[in-house]
Amino acid sequence: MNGEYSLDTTEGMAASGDPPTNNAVDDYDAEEALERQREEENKIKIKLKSFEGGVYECGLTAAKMSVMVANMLDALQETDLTKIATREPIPLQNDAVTNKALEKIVEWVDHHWDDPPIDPDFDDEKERRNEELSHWDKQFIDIADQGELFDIIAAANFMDIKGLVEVGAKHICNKIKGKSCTEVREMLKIHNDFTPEEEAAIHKENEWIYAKD
Amino acid sequence: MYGKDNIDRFGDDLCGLLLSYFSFEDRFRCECLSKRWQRLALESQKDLTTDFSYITIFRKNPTIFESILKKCANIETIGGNVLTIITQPMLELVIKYCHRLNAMDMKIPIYVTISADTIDKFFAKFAKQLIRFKYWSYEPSLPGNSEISATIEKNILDCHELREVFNCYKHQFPRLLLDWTGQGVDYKQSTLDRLEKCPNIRTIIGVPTVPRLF
Repeated sequence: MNGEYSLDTTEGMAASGDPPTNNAVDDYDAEEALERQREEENKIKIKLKSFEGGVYECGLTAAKMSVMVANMLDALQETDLTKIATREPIPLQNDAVTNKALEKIVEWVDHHWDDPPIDPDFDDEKERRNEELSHWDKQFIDIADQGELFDIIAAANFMDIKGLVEVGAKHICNKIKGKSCTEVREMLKIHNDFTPEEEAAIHKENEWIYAKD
Repeated sequence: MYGKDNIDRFGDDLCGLLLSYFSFEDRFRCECLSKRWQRLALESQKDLTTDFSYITIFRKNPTIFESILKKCANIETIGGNVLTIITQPMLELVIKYCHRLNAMDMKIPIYVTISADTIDKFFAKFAKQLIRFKYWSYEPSLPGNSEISATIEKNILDCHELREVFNCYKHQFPRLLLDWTGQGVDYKQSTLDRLEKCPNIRTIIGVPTVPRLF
């Protein structure tokens, strides 16, 4: 934000913010403990089964990045987590979850399992959304076969892995940047159902976009 | 059935999510793709957050601004940028066409004034739903602008959902919100009473010294 006035000159206060107390130390310990637990749990491997029948192993904490998988595991009400490892693979019943897609998804969650969880109420939400993809994510999502790419995004959406859907969204966003309407249509295989007149009217209405400079 | 590499295989929710990562103007660019994408693009316009050049275009051509507000029924945020200049005709269009607005950032330039009546109308429509309100003025000492500030002050604490308030020219608006300087006990008490009805306020910026309230 390079405007005339910066929003960050926090001369004010967070009105209802609590003053720091000794509780901060306890909070820190609790956080540490939680992190250790996540680390331990990720050593437990669970099996996921694609729509095509392929079975893939994945750390438990990583697998729980999928809200859908996490909910399914919760529903098992299994207190002994190690038993989860020996269970039948969890079936993912959506045709976007192909072998290839699931293999990539497991690769992604295995790399990202220790990311801080996404909190939509968090003040930095906007900042995170606008952040560029990391080098690793860029390489991960740069997939030549568009059908495969769309499988991964649709599968991640089905499995409710918000972070991965976000990576896909930013990737598509980067791909269509600066392209014309016709180019975007061609790339994303969108069928144009406007008459030439209708399309011209929309372009006319949106002329201001190009009038900027 | 769509081919695997056809983006139209995605449902509306996923497409809307993808569009939410596009910029304001890039979403409008998607309007011409197809009828489905036109609908999706307009539905996904929730934040009218744009750069200075566009806001200048809107200010000079209220008809463009009107056509945008008219077709984007879901706008929740206007601004998010220190340079969001809002003029009287623009504010009137916002009042007329926006129904879901919950965050407003406005800057009033030196040569522009907004009538107290329009500001009252703005708050009459949006006070119940506003969660953020930010206000800048170039030249607060002008008579027109001090009237604006007084009108905002009168209305702002009736916005009970407000979480964030920002007022740039604190010195020129000594009484806006919480600057106690030179104020008597009654003023402090009445402000406190009104603030109690706004339990969600978390951030108040632009006030030099503020006693802890909650």
